Amino acid sequence: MNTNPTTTVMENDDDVAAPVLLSPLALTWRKFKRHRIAYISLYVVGLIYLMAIFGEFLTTSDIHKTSTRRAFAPPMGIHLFAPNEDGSSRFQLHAKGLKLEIDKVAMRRVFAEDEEKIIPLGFFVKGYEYKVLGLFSSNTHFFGPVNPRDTVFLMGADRLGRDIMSRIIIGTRVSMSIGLVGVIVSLFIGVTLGGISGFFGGWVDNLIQRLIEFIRSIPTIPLWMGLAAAIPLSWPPLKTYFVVTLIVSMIGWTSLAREVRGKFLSLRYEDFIIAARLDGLSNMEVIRKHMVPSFSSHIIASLTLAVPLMILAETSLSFLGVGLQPPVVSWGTLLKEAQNVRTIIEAPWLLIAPATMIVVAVLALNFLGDGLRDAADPHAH
Amino acid sequence: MKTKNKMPEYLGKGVAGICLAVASTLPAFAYEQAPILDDQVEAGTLPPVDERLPKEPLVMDVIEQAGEYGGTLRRAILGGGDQHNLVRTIGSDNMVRWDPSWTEVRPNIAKSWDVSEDASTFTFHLREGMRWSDGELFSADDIMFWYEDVFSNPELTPNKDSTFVGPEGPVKVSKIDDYTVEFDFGTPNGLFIQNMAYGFGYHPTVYPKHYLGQFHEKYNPELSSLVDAEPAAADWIQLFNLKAGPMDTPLFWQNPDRPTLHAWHLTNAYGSSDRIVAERNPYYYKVDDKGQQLPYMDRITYDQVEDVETILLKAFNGEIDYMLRHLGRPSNKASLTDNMERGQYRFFDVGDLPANIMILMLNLNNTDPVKREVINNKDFRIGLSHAVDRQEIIDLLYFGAAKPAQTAPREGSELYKEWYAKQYTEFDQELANKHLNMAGLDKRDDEGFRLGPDGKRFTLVFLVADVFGLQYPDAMELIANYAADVGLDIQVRATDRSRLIALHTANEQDAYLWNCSGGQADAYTTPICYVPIVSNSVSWAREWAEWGVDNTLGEEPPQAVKDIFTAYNEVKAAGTPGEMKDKMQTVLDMAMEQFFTIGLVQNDPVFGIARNNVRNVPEPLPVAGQLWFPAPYTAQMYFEGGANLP
Amino acid sequence: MMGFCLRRILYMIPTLFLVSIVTFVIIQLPPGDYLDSLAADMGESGSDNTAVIETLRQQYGLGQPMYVQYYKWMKGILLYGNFGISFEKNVLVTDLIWDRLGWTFGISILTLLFIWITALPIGIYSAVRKYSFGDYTATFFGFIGLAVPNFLLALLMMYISFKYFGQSVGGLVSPEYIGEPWTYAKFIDLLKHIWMPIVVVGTSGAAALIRIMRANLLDELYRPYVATARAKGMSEFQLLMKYPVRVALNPFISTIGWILPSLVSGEIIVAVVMNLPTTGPLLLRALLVQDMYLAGSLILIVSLLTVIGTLISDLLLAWIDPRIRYQ
Repeated sequence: MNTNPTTTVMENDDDVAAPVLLSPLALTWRKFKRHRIAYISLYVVGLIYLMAIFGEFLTTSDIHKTSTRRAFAPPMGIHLFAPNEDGSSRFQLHAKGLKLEIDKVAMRRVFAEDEEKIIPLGFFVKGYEYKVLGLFSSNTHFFGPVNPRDTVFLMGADRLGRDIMSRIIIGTRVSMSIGLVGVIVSLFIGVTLGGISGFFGGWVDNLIQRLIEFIRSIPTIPLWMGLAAAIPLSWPPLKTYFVVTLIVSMIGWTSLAREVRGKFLSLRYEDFIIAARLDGLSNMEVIRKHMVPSFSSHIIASLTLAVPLMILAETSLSFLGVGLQPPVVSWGTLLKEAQNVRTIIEAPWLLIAPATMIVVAVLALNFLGDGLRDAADPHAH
Repeated sequence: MKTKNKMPEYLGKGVAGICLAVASTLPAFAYEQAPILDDQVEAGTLPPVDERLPKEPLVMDVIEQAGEYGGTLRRAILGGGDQHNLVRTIGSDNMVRWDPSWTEVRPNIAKSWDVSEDASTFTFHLREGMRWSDGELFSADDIMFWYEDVFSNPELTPNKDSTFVGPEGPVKVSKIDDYTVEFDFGTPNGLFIQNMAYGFGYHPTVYPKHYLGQFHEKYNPELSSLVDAEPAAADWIQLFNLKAGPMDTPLFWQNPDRPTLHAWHLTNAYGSSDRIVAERNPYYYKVDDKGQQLPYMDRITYDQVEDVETILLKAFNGEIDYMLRHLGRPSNKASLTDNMERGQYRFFDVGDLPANIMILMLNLNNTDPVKREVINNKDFRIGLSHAVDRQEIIDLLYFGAAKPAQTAPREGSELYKEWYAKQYTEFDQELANKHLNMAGLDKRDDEGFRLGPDGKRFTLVFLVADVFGLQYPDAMELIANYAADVGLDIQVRATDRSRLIALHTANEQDAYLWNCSGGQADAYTTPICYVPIVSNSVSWAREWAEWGVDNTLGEEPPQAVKDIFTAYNEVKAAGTPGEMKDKMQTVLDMAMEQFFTIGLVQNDPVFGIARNNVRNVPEPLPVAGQLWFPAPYTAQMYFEGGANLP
Repeated sequence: MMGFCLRRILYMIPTLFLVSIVTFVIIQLPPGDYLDSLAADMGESGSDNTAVIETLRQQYGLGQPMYVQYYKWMKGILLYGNFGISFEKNVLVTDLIWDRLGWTFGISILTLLFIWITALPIGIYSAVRKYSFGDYTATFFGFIGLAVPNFLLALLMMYISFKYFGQSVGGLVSPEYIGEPWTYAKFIDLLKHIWMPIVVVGTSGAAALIRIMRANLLDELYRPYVATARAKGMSEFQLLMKYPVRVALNPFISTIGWILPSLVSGEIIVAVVMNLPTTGPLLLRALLVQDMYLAGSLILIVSLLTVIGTLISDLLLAWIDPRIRYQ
């Protein structure tokens, strides 16, 4: 029923009126909810993953659809009240159309809001066709122009006149999964090798430590560049993407393994471990029941730091031109495309929008991890 | 003098004019020098200007007017691979040069030249008393040193540069007297003088015998001690290459000790410091019509940067005095315009007008038999050509500043024909579908993509690299979408330039996106998109090209392509310009009929920036692959007021 | 302790050997070689120049099999301290890298100091005043630093300093000081520039360390020995510094080992954007054009220093925490 005596005792000692036995999980959850920002972050992270899963439903236009007349179009505002013909106004969500002037000398497009042209917006509107979860077709979109022929750029358009908001939403899929897959890979390798190393010690430990030392001592960027450049060009983007993920996750596992090992080493001779051993528990039981729970908080803290690191690593790789390449859309590739002076001056939204997304995701993940860590910490009060 | 020049008239005009000018005004000159040199002359460390100049200096035809001395031309250079930055400002100053409008060849290092009746022998007359940048005399012996000891030495030159190889083999050079050399090809080589004015004509005049002799086993018996002292070389060949590298590699710019005939001379090596400084060459052989020795500007500095964005910011800040490289891209125009006042610069036009700036290079020698069969079907290429909406690409990427066109000579070029440029360029999906069906791709799979003759989906993998600042990856995304609209599966693989080149030179590519020279006068000398030619940048039929060089290599092409080879050899053998033009037109007619590559866009002129007080700027400045401009004309640019703007 | 040291130092030898091999393989992994890159650069001269390429292939010994190249390279390094030549610069690698390594270390050490100085107090504060306004603020800014990609931060800072402060962009000194001897004015000018890369590279490291410091300290703060000490009337500050902080410092010591490669890697992109005279751009360029001895030597040297750094941090840890010593 309850496997963690420490916690139970503490709970019983508290001034709870009617003693209720709560499982450790429930306790953790209760503690977690007290960490407000972490609690909110949980929802934010959840929303981001929902966005990744149901991307097309949330987009307002096809991410590959280009438009000559809308290249570098600035973000359009959403207006609430539209004027009627008689001068009064009615409630109608809408965006204003854009008037385009091309300045041929300076090679620039100048946009002005067209007060006359109203693009009515609505929820659950018809748009381009897509597949939900790759299973069935739909053309309903959560939000967008009521008339499917209209286009609206809520976060502006890029140099080919593609909708930035839609691209960011679709990019979530690659960016968030690269972090997750990467972390899962490094968690698996790191905890296994670190655990073996710390628990058994001796020559096994030595070997693994040398391996870690070796991997860590090679600067990551040259390693990535060498490996990424060695991927044959004939591979389809998806396969390349998977390999890039694996490459990126190589940074994660060594630090985790070292930390796990360190914890194992220092825990080996703690009283409660010795006591557990004397109780006749097997090695595996000692590890599973006593050692891992006592440093899981630390692992969670490291992991939540790792997910955003992977997301950022992907952007760095894109910057160097060895990561994901168009037409694959990720936050990293979007940011890379905006990484120039011209964009900062003339189309800052191209930079701001994906950068904000990255910052929000990284912040949320970090706060979430922080909260989890504190909640899972058996010593915390 | 005029009668001596028995060269084709179009090449002779300029020469005669200049030579007459020299002859008539020569005695009136008392030469002047830059004030910066006065101290050295007074101190006796430098001879007076009259002794430094040759007897007959080149009187330069300046663009606007005679200028004033002083100032530093400030530029920026990338940390690596940017040697053309130096080549095109300082380096390309050859025996003869093109005039600033790229229409005729004029004297440069050579004061004049004669051409034999059959255009097989060329005699150059050098300037008596002309000196290298270290003050040693330059004479026919230096050219003979290049010919006998470098060019003809199989270890130093295992492969000869094509400029100096005629149909009968490498040129024979002989010294007539100290200031006369003769280049003999044995058979007609009507393009030779033009070639000497282009980039690769630099070879004969960059090998100072008095300096490089010490690194040559023939002239230095104690060479081994020098080899031992140089850790970067294992034998004398490597040592010599290190000291006497080719101009378009970094090597040339990493040996500041090597004397040159250029207007400025490097004081430190490219790649080793934050700033490369080139100081004025006090022995430079050009003067203006007032008798002032060129160059006007005291020095050129190249600040080394790592990122093109930094160059842009430097330009905004007014830290760039004259530059088109890295800056003259349509995408930079708007932000450069905004900062004109801050940076105190203006724009000038650059006629960088290749045959096409965006070409689908389909590999006609594809190693996959199915793909090869389809690609070699002209209908397939026509279909793909019609499928592309060229105007949309132009509007999106180049602000409409370009024209839809095939790979062909440009309007204004003497070789221009409308049908070359316009055939199959209209955007018409119906026509595209029709031709693709005719090419045998009439069946489709359930996703709507066309099947190849083998019954599998027909897929082409397009390589693309982000080069020339032309947004190729963006263009390729658009093109893949156009192709998908007519059921053609194009997979795009973005990569870097060197990997792309490694792949296409190994004939391992399906297709890639690139540009091609040959839009103007360079169609004669570099018809790489009209005739299969082995090249590092352009491969659409590499096997055929190798066969063209040596019939035992590569793969025998079809008869139509063999005919093109024959026709182009006749161009090279042509004696007169008129004959040459007719023969070239024949080559083009045949090539355009074959429709080897699918051209998309011919650009409008691009631009460079010059700070407001930089004068004598050639405009429009012609630039092309082999035309390494503005190098022969940098020396006559000057700062109004004799100093940089603050 | 002596035996432990000796053993650890001996272990370095096979590690370094492995590093040298892997380094060499990594730089050879991408298809093609330097001459392909050179050919690419020469492509813009408008015509083919295969003639030159063949000559240079001999020059750089690129026709030889990989193990021969490796053997020659290692022999040169071990016997003569010769790291080979840079193909692109045509000088010995050793002539090229020391200056730049100097700048890299200078900036790395300053960055490390910046990280420690910001992370230590903020980390302690965040742990002690958990969930306070200050903790949230520190956490928030720390995470922002972690979340903004380095290169973006670098470009933005450069643009702002250009746009609003009129500063010349890129490099560690203004253009007028390039190539000039060191003076007081030049030094001041250096200070005006150098803080930017330090802050840009340091923010993410500092943020990470704040998190770790906070987490570790929280683990310690509620241990019985702390409670005991508190019960005995020890002042809060003394109490904090004497035990929990000392124990929580372990990761700080570990950082010595890995900070260098991560700073070198992190610095590459920043140095390219900010145009710094460090190893970053040199290494990146060398990797891109496969200037293999230059790239290999840089990676090798950085790796060597990392191995030494790890050694130092291990020894320090063993000294502080004897449990680790006798595994």
